[in-house]
This record gives sequence, C-alpha cells and structure tokens, in this order.
Amino acid sequence: MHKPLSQNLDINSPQSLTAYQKTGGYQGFYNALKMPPQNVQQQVSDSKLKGRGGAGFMTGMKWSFVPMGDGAPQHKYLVCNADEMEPGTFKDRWLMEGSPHLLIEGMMIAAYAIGADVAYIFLRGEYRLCATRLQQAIDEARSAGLLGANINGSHYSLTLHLHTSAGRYICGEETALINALEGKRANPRAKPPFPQVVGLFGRPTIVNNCETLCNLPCILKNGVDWYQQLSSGADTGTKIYGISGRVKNAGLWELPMGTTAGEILKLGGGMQDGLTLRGWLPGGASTDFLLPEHLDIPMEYDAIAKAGSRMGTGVIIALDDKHCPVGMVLNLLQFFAQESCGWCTPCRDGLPWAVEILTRIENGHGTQDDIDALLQLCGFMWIGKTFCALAPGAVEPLRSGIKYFADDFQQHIDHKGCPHRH
Amino acid sequence: MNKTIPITLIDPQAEVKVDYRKWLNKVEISAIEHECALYESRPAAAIDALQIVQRERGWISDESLYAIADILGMSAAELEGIATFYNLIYRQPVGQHVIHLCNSISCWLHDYQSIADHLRKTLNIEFGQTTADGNITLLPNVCLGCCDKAPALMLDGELVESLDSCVIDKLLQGLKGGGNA
Amino acid sequence: MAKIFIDNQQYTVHDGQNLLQASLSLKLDLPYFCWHPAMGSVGACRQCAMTQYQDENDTRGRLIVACMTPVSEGMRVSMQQPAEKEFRDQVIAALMTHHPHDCPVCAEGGECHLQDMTVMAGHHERSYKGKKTTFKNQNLGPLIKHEMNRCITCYRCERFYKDYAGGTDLAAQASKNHVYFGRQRDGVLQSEFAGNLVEVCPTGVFTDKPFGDHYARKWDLQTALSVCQHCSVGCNTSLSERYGSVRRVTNRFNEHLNGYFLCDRGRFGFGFVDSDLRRKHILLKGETANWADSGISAILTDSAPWLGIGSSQASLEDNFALQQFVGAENFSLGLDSNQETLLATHMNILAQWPSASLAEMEQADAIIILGEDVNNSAPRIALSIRQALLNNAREQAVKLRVPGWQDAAVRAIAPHHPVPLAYLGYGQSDLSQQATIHLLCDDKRAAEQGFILANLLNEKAPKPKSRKVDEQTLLLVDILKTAKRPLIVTGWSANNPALLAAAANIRQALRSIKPDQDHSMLCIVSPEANTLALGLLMQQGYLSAEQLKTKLTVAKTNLLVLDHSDPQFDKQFDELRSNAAHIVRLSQLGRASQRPSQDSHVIDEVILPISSFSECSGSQINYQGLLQSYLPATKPSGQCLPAWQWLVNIAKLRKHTLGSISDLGQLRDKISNLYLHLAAHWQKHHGQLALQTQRVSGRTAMLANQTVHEPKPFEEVGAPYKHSMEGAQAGQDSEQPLAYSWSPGWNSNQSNHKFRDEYRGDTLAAQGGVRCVIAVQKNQWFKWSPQWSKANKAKWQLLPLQKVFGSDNLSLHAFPVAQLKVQAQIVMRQAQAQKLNIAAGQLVYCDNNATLFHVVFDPQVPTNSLLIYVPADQYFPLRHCEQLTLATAKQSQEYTDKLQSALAHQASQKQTQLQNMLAQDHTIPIHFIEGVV
Repeated sequence: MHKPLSQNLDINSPQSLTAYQKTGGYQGFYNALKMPPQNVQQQVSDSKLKGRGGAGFMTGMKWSFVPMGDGAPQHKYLVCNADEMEPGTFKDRWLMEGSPHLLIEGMMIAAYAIGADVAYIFLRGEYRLCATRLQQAIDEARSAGLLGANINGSHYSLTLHLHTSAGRYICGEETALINALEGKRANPRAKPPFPQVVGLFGRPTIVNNCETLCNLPCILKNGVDWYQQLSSGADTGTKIYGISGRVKNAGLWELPMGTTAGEILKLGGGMQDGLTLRGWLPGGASTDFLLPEHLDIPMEYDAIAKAGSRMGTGVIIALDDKHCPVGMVLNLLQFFAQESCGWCTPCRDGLPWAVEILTRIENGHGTQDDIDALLQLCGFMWIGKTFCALAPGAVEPLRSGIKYFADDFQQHIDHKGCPHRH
Repeated sequence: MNKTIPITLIDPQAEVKVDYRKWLNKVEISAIEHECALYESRPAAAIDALQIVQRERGWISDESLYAIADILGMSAAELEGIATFYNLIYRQPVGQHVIHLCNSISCWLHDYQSIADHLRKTLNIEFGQTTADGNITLLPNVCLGCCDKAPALMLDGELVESLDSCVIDKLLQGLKGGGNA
Repeated sequence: MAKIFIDNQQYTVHDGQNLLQASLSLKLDLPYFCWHPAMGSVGACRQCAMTQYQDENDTRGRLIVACMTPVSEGMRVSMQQPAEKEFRDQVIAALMTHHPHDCPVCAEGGECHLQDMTVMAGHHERSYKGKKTTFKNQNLGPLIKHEMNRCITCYRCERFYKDYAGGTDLAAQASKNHVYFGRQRDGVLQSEFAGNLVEVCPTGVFTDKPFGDHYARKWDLQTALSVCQHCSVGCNTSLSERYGSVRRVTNRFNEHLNGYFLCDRGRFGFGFVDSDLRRKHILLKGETANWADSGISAILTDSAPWLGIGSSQASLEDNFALQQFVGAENFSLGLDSNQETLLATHMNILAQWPSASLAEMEQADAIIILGEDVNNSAPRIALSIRQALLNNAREQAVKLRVPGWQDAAVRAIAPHHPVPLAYLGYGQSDLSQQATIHLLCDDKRAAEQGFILANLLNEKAPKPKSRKVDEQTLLLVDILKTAKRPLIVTGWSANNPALLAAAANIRQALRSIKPDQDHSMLCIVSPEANTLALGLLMQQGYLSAEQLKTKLTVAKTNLLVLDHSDPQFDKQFDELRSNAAHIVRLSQLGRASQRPSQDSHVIDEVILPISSFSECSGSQINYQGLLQSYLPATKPSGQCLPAWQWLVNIAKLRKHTLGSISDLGQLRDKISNLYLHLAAHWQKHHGQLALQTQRVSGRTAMLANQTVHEPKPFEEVGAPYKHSMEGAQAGQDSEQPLAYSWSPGWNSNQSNHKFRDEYRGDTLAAQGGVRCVIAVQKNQWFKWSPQWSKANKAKWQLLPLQKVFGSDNLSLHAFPVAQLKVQAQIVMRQAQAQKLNIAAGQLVYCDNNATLFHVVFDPQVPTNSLLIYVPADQYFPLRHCEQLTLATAKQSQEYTDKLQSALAHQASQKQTQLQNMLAQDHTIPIHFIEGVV
C-alpha cells in the first residue's frame, strides 16, 4: 500500500532537507517548475484531488478562479490553512511535526501553479512544536535557494512566511483566516467577491488545507494516473484517517480514500474493554452522528453525505456507551457557542441558547418543549441562514444527536437527571 | 472584561499615548519590526506584536497595548478589539505559569472532568484564576490536537499529553518554587 | 430596470440595487437592522430574510438575505411565506434573549427601530429561559450616553464611527455574544460625528445625553423644520420642543446636503437660545423699558441720519429689512475690509460657477483642498469628501461584478484603488491624513500653487508672482486632467482671497480642457451660516467698513445694528460706538463679561431683544448660495420679536414705507420683487404642516394647574405650519416636506425610506432649490493681486486654526459644546519648541498680548509659522509674533484656577438652567402659548 504522505514521516525526528531530497523530496516541485503554471493546475484538476480541510471541494477548480496570465494582478498569495482546531482532529499536526518539508514543497507547487509570489502558513498558536520544525524547514529551504528569488535558476520567486495565530476556531474559515492574517478580528467575509479575486490585502488569494497541499508533491512527482490508482472508490488519493475517543489505540493512519470507518476502528483496536460503540462522528465535531450500522460505508465525501452526515476531516470521534450522548452534544455545542465570532445573529445568539437548553436537560431541569425548541434552533442555524458554516456545523451533531439518541434525551427529561451519572 | 474606571479620571484629551521607545525593549521592537516587514501594512502585524510582547512580559497591560498601538500606527481602541478577540492574548496579569486544559470532545470522552476537578482542588482556584502565590493560572482551551493522547493540556505553550492525576501531580511539583516545566 | 416577482406580484425596479433597497422603495415592510442607506450592506443581522425561487415551479426555494442579494431580471422571491417569516421571527427572538425590559425608562422608546421591528415580527412572548448578559457602561463624555445591555450587535455603530466617519476611538471588542462596543477606556468620544451614533444605533445603546437630562417622548414633541446655524453648510435639522423649551436637534434628511448625518456642533449647539445671556427685555440706557416709553420713541424718531450694520448671524429677512430701512448706501455688512473682499470674490465666483452640493462632492474621483481645514470649518463637508475616497474602489468592485453597496468588499479593494486627495495646507485632520498628495504650506503658498496649477492646465491662466512649482503641483496636473469628476475645495478660514481666486482659476482651467464633458466641482466654505445673505444684499451697493468709520466721524449719525455675537465684532463696534449719536441694537445675546448695566453704556441707548432661530421663521443662504428657510419650534420669550418685526415697527414710527409690511409673507414678497429669482422659493404652497404628532399628549392637562381655558396655539399670519396636530401629518404625503420622520409601524428615523426611493441608479437627482446667484460662465480669470505676495517679515506668521468645538461663537453658549470647548492653543513643531526651551502643555504669551496659549506639538507646521487657535469667544488680533514668553508658575496657576472656576461656574449654571427648565415644565407661562406680541 502506498503511503506517499507518511512513508517518510517521523514524528520524533522529521527529515532534514537533505534527507527529504534523498527520498525524492522536491522532485514534484522541480517537475512543476518545468511546465507552465496552467499545466500544473491542469494536472491537479485531472488528479481530482479534493480539499482535505472538510469541505471536499475540487482543488483544481478552486484554483481555476485565480486570474492568470499577463493581465492578471501583479501580486497573489498562497496560504496554507494550518489552523487545525476542529475538535477531534489532529491530522495536520502529525503531518507538520513529522514531515514539514512535505508541506513546504506542496505550498511551493500550489504557489507556482497560481502565480503567487508570497505564501503564508497560518498555523494555530498552540502547535508550538510544528512552528519550530516548520521554521527550521523554511530556513533550510531558503538557504538552499529553494525559496527566494529565481528558484533553481528559473524566473519564479517565492517568499514563504510562518504566522502563528492567537487562537479562535473561526480562523479556520478561509475568509476569517484572511482577516486574521491582516491583523484584524477574524470575522468571515461575504462571498462574492471570492478570495481568488479579492483576498488577502485585496489581492488574489488561495487558501488550502495543510493535508491538501501535502498531496501535491506526489501528484507532480508521480503523475495523475499513479495518484488515481491509490484508491478504488469515488475519491482519489490517500487520506489521513484517524480515530479518537475510548478506543484501544487512538491514532492516525494514511489509507486509501474510501476506507470504511469499520476498518479504521479495527486499526484503532476497537473499543476499550467493557465498552461498546454507540455512535460516531466521521470527521470532527461539526459532522452528524452515525451509528454502528453505518460503519461499512466508505469514508468518501459523497457516500457519507448520502448516509446523512459529512466526511469532514475524516478523523473519527467514537462515542462509547458509558458516556452520555446528551453530555457529548452539550460539550460540542459549548465549543461552538464559545467559538462563535459574534458577527451574525443565528450563530451568536442561537448557539448559547442551545447550550442553555442542553445544560438544563443534562442537569435534569429539561422539559418536553425543550426538545422542540432545540429542533427549532437547528432550523434557525442551518445553511443559508448564517453568514458562514460554523453554526450549521454545530447543528449537525445537535440534530443527529436528538435523532439517534432520542431516548437518552427523553430519559433526562422524564427522570430529571442524567442516567449516566450514578 | 470591563474595568470600572471612576468618573474622576475622565480627561477630555482622552487619548492615552505611550511612546513605544520608552516602554518596549530592544528585543520586542526588533521582533515587531521584523514581523511588520512580512506584511503589506504595519497594523497587519498586530497579532504577532501582541504575542511578542506577551512572551516577554507574560501578559498585555494597558501600557503595553498603547505602546504596541504606537509602534504599529493604529488606535488603542482598534488594537483592544483585536486583543480581546483572540483566546491566547491575556489582558489580565497571569501567573508565572499558565495551564490551558483542553475541554473539547475527545478529552471530555477521556478523563477531562476528573483532571479538571483535580487541578481545581489541588491549586485551590477556579478556571480563570491564579493561585494565591502568583505561580499558576488555570485556563481552559479548545481542542489542542492531542486527541489520540487525551486528556491533554498546554503548559506555557508546550503540549502535555496522556494526563492522569499522577502526571498532573508531577507536573505541578515541577512548577513549585519557580521551577520551569 | 428589472422585472421581479415578490410574492407572485410583478414589480419593476432599478437595476444595480439589492433586494432590500428595492423592497423598501416599493414601500414593502421588510425588517432589517444592520443595513443602513448610507453605509451599504454587510449581511450580519440576517433580519431581512426572504426566499428566492429558481422558477415558477420551485415551491421550496432557499433563504437569502435581501440586503446582500442583487436584483436580477425575472427573479422570483417571497417575503410573506412561512419559511422566511418564521426565520425573521426567530432572529428577533434571538436578538431579544438578552435585551432588558428597559422600554419604559429607555430614551429610545417611541422612536426605537428595535421596538418597531419586534412589533412588526409579532414577537410578544419570551421563550428563552436563561439569564441575561449584562455589561458595564462607559462614560463617553457629555454628549453620548452608553447603555450596552441594550445592544443587539448590529455593528452599525462601529461601521459608522470607524469606517464612515474615520473615528479611531470606538471599536468592537471581545466576541461571540459578549461583543462590546466602546472606547478602549472611558473618555470623551473624539470624533466630531459621534452624535450620529444616537441616530444610527437602532436601540438605546447610544442616546443623546443632554436630551436625556430634560427628556420628552418623540410623540410628545413639537418639531419644526429647521436649518443649522453653526456653519455655512446649512444642514437640515428637526428642532423639537416641549412645554415651551427646545429639547433637541435631530437630522432632517436632505439628499443633497447633510443626508443622514450631522456634526456634533450642529446637533448639540442649539442650546444658545436658552443661554442666560439671552436678551428678553427692551433696555433703555441699561434699564428695562417698554416700547411705548417716550424715551424709546424719542430716540427712534431722531432726525439724524441712520446707518445700519447687518449681521451674518441674522436672517436674510432681518438684514433685508435693515437694508431697506436705512437704504443700501447706508447699509454696512458688519464685516471688516478683508472679509468684504472675500465676500465679493465669493459672490463673483458663484456668479460663474455653480457650487457643488455635498451629494455631488461624494461623487468626486479626484480632490484638491487648498488651504482650508474642512474638518473643522465645515465638518459635514469633510465627511462627504471622505466618502468620495472610496469611489475608485466602487468602480473597481463593479468591474469585478461586486455591487458598490457591498460595503466590506469595497473597503477590501480600496487600498489598491485610492482616489487622489491633495491637501495643500497645514495642521492635522482626518482629510490631511488621508491625503495621497500632501504639501505642507501656508495659505499664500497654497494659493500660489493653485494659480500655477491652473496655468499648467491652461496657459492662459494668470501666473502668480512666485514661479516656484512644487512637485505636488506637477503631480496634480495629470491627475486633474484624467479625473472625470474633480473637486476643488477652499474657504475663508485663512482670510485670504487669493485662495478663492486660485480655486476659481483651476475650475476655469478644467472647464477649458473638457468643455463638453465638464463635471468639475467647486466648493468654497464661507465662515457662518448666513454670510452669503450679505453677499446677496451687497449687490445693491453697500457701505464699506472704511466708509462707515469715516461717516461716523464727519457728522452726527445714528447706528441701527443687527448684533453679532463675536469678540472681533465687539472690538470693532466699541471703536465705532463712541462716534455715534444714538445706537439701537437688535440683540440676541448680551456679552458675558459685562453686567447688563455696563453693557448699555449711555450711548448704547436702546436694546431691542430679538427672537432666536428657534422662535421665528427666517431664511438663510448657505455656501452654495442656496436659499433655505426654517420654522419656529417654539414661541419667543419675554419681549422678543423677530428683528425684521422690530424694524417694521420702527419704520411705522418714522412713517417709512417699510412700516406698511404687516407680516412675514409681505416682507418676503418685497424681497422677491427685488430679486425675482428668489420668488419661487417662498411660493411653494404645501398647505399647512402640523408640527405636532397625532399622539401628542397633555394638551388640555398641561395648563390645568393654571387655567381651565385652552389658549389658541401660536400662529404666524399666513405661515405654512401649525403649532398643533392640525394639518398635514408626517407620513401622509410624500410631497410634503417633513418636519420629523414617521410612518405607521416605523416610529424611528428609519421611516425615512417611506418617503424616497432608496436607489435611483447612478445619476444623482438635481438639487433643485433656489440659488441667490445664477451661475453664468464668463471665461474670466482672476489675476494675482500684488498684495497677496506680501512677505512675512516677522519671526513667525500666525496661521489660524479652527476647532469644531470652539470656532463657532453661538454654539459656545450651549452647555454641551461649552463643556468640550478647546482652550486657546499654539501649535509648533517639536524642533521649534526645543529651540525655545518650551515643552508641550506649557502656557505661553505672544508678544505683549494677554492671551495665554497651551503649547501643542505637531509636525504639520510650515516654516516660519506657528499655528494659532483661539476660541470664538476670545479676541486675538495678532497675525505675527516676534516672541513667545513662558507663563510664570504664578501666571499658570492663576490661569488654571480661573479655568477651573469657570468650568465649575458653568457646571452650576447648567444645573440651574436644568432646574429652571424642569420647574418651567410644571408651570408653563401662559403667554408662551397665547403668543402676545
């Protein structure tokens, strides 16, 4: 099984530039440099690579909206979204700590493809080890002439900067990220205009997830056909999947796209002794619950969507039978309520409302109409009603939690307390 | 979040200005200037500047806020709006050490609650407070990305994973008497 | 135009607008919060939700927010379907989760947009079971009250204060449902437009503090169409009264001038009408008297010739009556010689070039400001110029298929598409800081460069004496040539006619470049609200200041004076009075420094008290030469009459033809006969406008403690208004000029959209109105006058600075403005100060003058110059200075003590006035209502 992203990943001692190059690193970038940027874009489009941050949008298509050619604006930006704060998600950290040059090479390919002259890594401030290792790798690359003016004797120049953020989940939203990078409060921006046209400092900008960018070196090095053969399902390439919660061996694995959750659970050693799986979130806090009966569904964007959820980041959170589903939903909604930026009404005022109701239910003070109130809030905060996707993401576990764990909610109301607390 | 300022202190020329050269040290100034050069405008380095000064002094006091506003050429009100937006910028004094305990879902599914209770009991403070000796401030944090080794916390910016009460006790022991993590 | 379907009904609407604008223009009741007609759309509150359908068959549709959705041909949307109605109700319920039950004690109640939208949504029951968040408020100064618990986080305050008005000390802080709008710490809000927060905030977070001290509900207020008295723009205002005292000024929408916003001087400066210094009684040699007294008539019928002195603080009617009475050749303008030159030049220019309105200035794509600190001399103009700076970004946005009303996008694009703004002058202000081209210079050099610029654009333009061309001027040549709507701004602040001449020449040059496509604009800021009325009258001929002085010395002469509240005028008048035989002063305010008996020196024989602008009808002419009229909000007090009425009464005594005037209408007819083009202004017949609302309360009860009779409301003969609820009501007729804005279900100022189209496309409607001078292009150039080249031989020339709170005399008699009055300042560069061993904040004297100045450092001071600011209630004649002397410790202490005691005295005066007003509310003097002359 090919593991292009993680085959040389070493969490304790990541490869230096020389070691990385020895195992084929930066070959993809050199290949890219030899062709016109539009061809790089074409290759990535053909590879059918989808964004790994959770949205699953075709990367090549996203890039295609950047104005290119002689009439295009002079300065463009490529930004790596390394603001991984989705609860239950820790894959980008693994990639950056274990293989920083992989990300840098991916960024260079992307930057070249869109004609960007400046790139930033927007890294969450809590990932200090990532910061150290990335900065080291950037410095190595610069010293070796891989970053800076006229890279490798070509006409292409690129400067790459590392920015560490100061918190807030909303920075993971690409337009909020752009505002944060401009040193402002991280409220999202309305689209249109899209960042590809008016982005960072008003210039064409592409924001790509860290894992997405890490896929680029192998695509450019080995070609589209090779990449597409990594998986057999609807989505191409490999994915960093993982699982956390009360499983025996929580962790991350690079697997072909379309691996099932059941297989991932198996790699995680199954549930801890004495526990059974009650439900699972496919990819982070902002995805709908699925049940054990859904474990066979391939972890692909469309397949999971058809099952009523979202693949999201692809790192699973497992709910065991000894933890209260209502408590879990409450914890998740507390997270979202706290992380709301405060811009639009449904998110800012709806999420704390949901938390207020859930808290009472969990503490045994819920009433029957509270369930209806929660469902109404779900409708209130759904897609299209809000300014960005944060609140709709919060609705996913809330709505599916009420649906699949209706009995637990009912018990809290009927028995005026949480049955999981003895 | 809001300090009550007695009315007698109101002053019609109410813009407080601190000359950054008189407040920030050389390390801070050169680090901030370095950051400014990475962006198209100086105010874009606001978050970086706040983090730089916080690293030096532990927190961002009013004077530090004014000094940073001065060096970046922005208003104190705007900078305050940025500083108070971000979780990791402290606008109140903190102890020698700051513990951020993750309270997100994977840690919650593990022993977050008992770790939290243990910390509060041992340190005898609530979240958001500092121990009486000024040594440790206890704060929450959202998912730290240590989900496979939950529960986890961040101590002075470094991640500490696979917590249990023993690990906590050893950690706190190491912080006593001004020791470093 | 686009055809759209709302709830299956077809409408035709303008292209280019958003669905909310379209719906409101169609007079549909679509609720909203964060959208503002002047500030565009951001899509934050989600209140204006509608559903959009793909086609006729789509029954489900998807929810959109109307303010962010452009109208498109054939679009199908709904407003009344359950989906969007439910969602809009949920938005209200969410906003109300933390809203306190403050309505009964909240100043906003009765004109609260949140109340209106909540009622409109039908929200009446609270289902949120949790506790409410509360905040600590800040003390934001004497003008604005802060009550954060009421906030619904619509972001309008920050967007107005920071983005629209350029204020830097108010911002959003914290996040999620704890967002806080305030300063970094307590203190006076620094922007001169802070008062607009009161009208921009849809709830009671920011309210009018002085109004709150003596409060009345909107529905109880009697509100008159008024015009601001505090600068030459003439912003339209609504002046509100209750129980005989004026309570507040709010914005009265005028598309071409003030739009939706006022400056704080205009909003809070009206209280001078209640000053202790107001004349209320006829005085004869310092003693109160009556009109019928023989002493009075003896003087008034004196046979010696009468010379008249007009005033820019009096109305057009007052000045006209005086000019008619004494004759044009005996009518002096009340200005000094230099001001007379400025006025003649200004009128000359107006006769050639129409002056741009504020709405036109907002469309400029290149701006040059010559030697005028617009932010301080006409703040509302500066606010409009500031909006123009986004025009290139808007144009670029449209190219990118992003509508210009999408405010955040336009601002994101703005840094790369600036509008060139050239600032040639001195001092720091918002506009000087926004300038893309900056030349630090005095007025003389600014004028020289202006002349040179005109010459570079058209070689026929006369050159000034000095030929040095600054590089900034060279840059401007191409900029102005390529601009489609360039704007030239200058004014009288520097007292230099050369600047006006330079501006006119540039205007002329621009016309000659593109005669067929000339959209250039010119704006000259005159000093006071009615200066140009004197300009109109001076066309009949006038007595110059020099001639006045001479005439008084050669023969026995009487003076009939329209008083002018201004220390410079006081000084000049004191010099003249000793030569006069008798003096009759038509006076509004006495002098602060003197007791009444001292004020009427034996020569000042008669003082006749005149009505303020709030107490009578009148007209004034703004910087454009535009004629505007105001109505009284209340009755005159004491023995006050409008000045023109006194003059008519005097004329009657003297059997002068002016005595045949029986009412204001006839006086205005007389004006129209002399100035035919003005007739149209007063001829508009709108029927009678009711100044009270239909819900005004207490009409029969308010006098019940004094009498059971209900006296007739005050009436002016033939006036187009009534001090009652009879007449056309606001909200009924869109043709009727509105005294205040109201419509059923829309009690707040947001109701304004019921009376206009929110979007008229790219073209601005013509301003209309009557100008005192019709512009006729004459191809005349101004020549450089040799006296403009006079070099400064003193050590420093003192260049005048203005301040919003301080440079207008009348407003300094209003407590809120007086509290914020800036004390005298001398501004210098730090290097200059170091040479003189002076530190910032110290007090200095200039040469032998007794005025003490605070030293302030600023880099924007030209060489060999110092900047001088003196409040408008202090006299300071010096134009040059040789020496600066530091005040001794004792002198500084005395000064500080004096200032402190003056402030303390002011505070106690304010308290006394408030108590008096509150007492008066209980015992309304009957003659207030009956209106006895």
